[in-house]
Amino acid sequence: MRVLIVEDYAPIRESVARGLREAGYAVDVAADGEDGLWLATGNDYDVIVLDLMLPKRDGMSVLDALNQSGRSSRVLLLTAKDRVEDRVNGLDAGADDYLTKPFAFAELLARVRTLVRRRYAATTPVLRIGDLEIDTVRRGATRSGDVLELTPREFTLLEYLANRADEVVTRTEIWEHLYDFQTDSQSNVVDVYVGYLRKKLEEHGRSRLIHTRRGHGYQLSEACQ
Amino acid sequence: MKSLRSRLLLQVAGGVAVLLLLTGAVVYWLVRATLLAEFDAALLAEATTLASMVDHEPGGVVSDIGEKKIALFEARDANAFYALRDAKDRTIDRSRSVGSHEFPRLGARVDQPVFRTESLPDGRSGRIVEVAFHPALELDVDDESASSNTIEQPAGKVLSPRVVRLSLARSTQSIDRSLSRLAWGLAGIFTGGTLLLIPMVWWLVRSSLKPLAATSAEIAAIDGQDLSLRLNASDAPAEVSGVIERLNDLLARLQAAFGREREFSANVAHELRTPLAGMRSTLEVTLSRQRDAGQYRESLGECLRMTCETEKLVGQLLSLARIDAGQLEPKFVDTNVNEELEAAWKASEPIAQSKAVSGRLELDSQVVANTDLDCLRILLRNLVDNAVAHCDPNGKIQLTTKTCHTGVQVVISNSGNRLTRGQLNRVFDRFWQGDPQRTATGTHAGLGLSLCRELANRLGLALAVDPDGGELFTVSLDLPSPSGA
Repeated sequence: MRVLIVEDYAPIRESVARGLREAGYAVDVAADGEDGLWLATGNDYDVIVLDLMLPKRDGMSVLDALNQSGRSSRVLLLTAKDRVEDRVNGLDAGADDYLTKPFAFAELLARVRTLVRRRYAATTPVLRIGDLEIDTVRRGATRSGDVLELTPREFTLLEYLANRADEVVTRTEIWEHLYDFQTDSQSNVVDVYVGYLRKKLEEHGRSRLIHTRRGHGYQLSEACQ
Repeated sequence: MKSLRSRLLLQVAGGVAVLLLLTGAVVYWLVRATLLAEFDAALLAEATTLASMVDHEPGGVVSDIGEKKIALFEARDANAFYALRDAKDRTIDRSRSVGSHEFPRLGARVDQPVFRTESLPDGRSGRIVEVAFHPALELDVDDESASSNTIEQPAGKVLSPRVVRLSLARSTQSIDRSLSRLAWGLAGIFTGGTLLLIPMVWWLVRSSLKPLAATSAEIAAIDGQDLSLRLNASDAPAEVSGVIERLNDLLARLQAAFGREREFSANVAHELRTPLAGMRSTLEVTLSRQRDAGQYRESLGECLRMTCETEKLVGQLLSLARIDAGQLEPKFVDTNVNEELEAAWKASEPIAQSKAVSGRLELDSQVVANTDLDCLRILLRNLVDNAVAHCDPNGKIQLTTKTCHTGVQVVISNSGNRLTRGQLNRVFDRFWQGDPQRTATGTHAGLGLSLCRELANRLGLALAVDPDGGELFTVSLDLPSPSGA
């Protein structure tokens, strides 16, 4: 899952980015509204954490521009403005959630997870595809009750594919949602990780869940097509 | 009596009652005077008629009144009395009704009758008139000589007319009865009027005070959360509308003051929350997993930096609060301004170097001012801090001191100014930042220059920004000469 943080106060920006990365998210950061809008319109972020009081272009203006561009990203406003009218204005302007400073990082993480679920229309934190269960809160997966030993990157890939279960997902889409600009990735990195993940899912002779669609991408599906 | 309604009721009802009483008294007096005047006129006419029945004959004054048997005096319950006295005050004639009663001597003169209210011989109250006149001479002479009021007697003596006094009294019973009826009538009008007046005045006062009650209800509806409401003066009477307008003005001033207070609180909250949020998220993320010593050191260093920034902000807020509360008591001493300015620059120099900002000090020799040393340190530190913070990277800062005839002047300027002339007018406002989005949060709250201005005002110093500095942001501080200079 890929998150954009638009925050001018460096300690918050950097600590939140670090925490989200450690939680398995691909994170990009922007220190002002113009950079934030440029990144948000040029990339398909799952969640945008947006401060309201930003240099160059304020958060509400960025939100308006994103709304007009037909965004699919979920927006979480993160601001020191805590009055009811501020929250109402923010939510009425199209934000999906609102969190005031100072905040508990665990709460921010939970809200980001919720927004990711909402983006992919998932109703529960546990995703089920056949005998595969993915717990997005505890960040663990089991198949037929057996715990799968996944690296953070593998789990994120599995979570993304599970969120888009039965859909054919292109390599570009996977790359865009799993890697941020800080990651030095090679062109075949997606194929490599899909290979690792597929191997772990099919251990002990289990059925194939990740199917290759030649010329298109991959599909996580219980049904063998 | 604190109630306006009670006070008005008492005063209006009391006033009208007194007015009724006075009116009644005047009416009574006028009627009585009129009746008495008419009575006196009739009495005088009767007395004149009686006087015409008195003759002056050579043998003396002769009264024919008794002979006429006038019923007025003859009746058993006669209410008229008369007595006739000659010049020697001897009673010549009197009505039977008078009996042995003696009328008072009123001292009437010819053509000057005297009236008086007196008790009558029968004990009733009455009115008496005393007239003095010359009885007609009854002689066997022709009319012409009689008319001259003198007569020449055969012996050659002249018979002079003598003055005779007639006292005529009549009962004023009928007038007294009328006046008594009038008095009772007036008393009834007064009592009834007063009884009617009280509820009328009460209603009048109540309806007159209704606009006040309505205004009071409107005021009660205004709570501290929403001071944008205004009282409606359009339907109020002129006396109340003035008060309402003044109240609306007061509300507008209160709203503005509360607005500033809210804005100040919001700014304080924002400036404190942001570094707190930074510290909390830094610490939480750091503690979320086991890390190596370097990462912990990095996080703690970051938190320490944020703590110092917050401490500086809190210190500025406290200083402002102390100045506002009048708790600052400056101690004026002769102070070396150059030393303090150099110390302030040294404290900010590392930050300036990190931005590749060069500083240039042009200090006059022996620059000493009479001021409070602690306050001057805070002032210079904040002014230099502000210059370093807002100087553009690779920019220049110039610090100057000079002595002039009015005292000492400190001038601090930095390059990279992008503020307009209008914005320069606001640089001393609390929490004002050139960027309305408060991009310097956590670094500069917009309090430094406000604190400088408050300190300068408290010390009586002149602190000003050069509005024509162009790309140079220039602040000048004028200090007084040392004592004895």
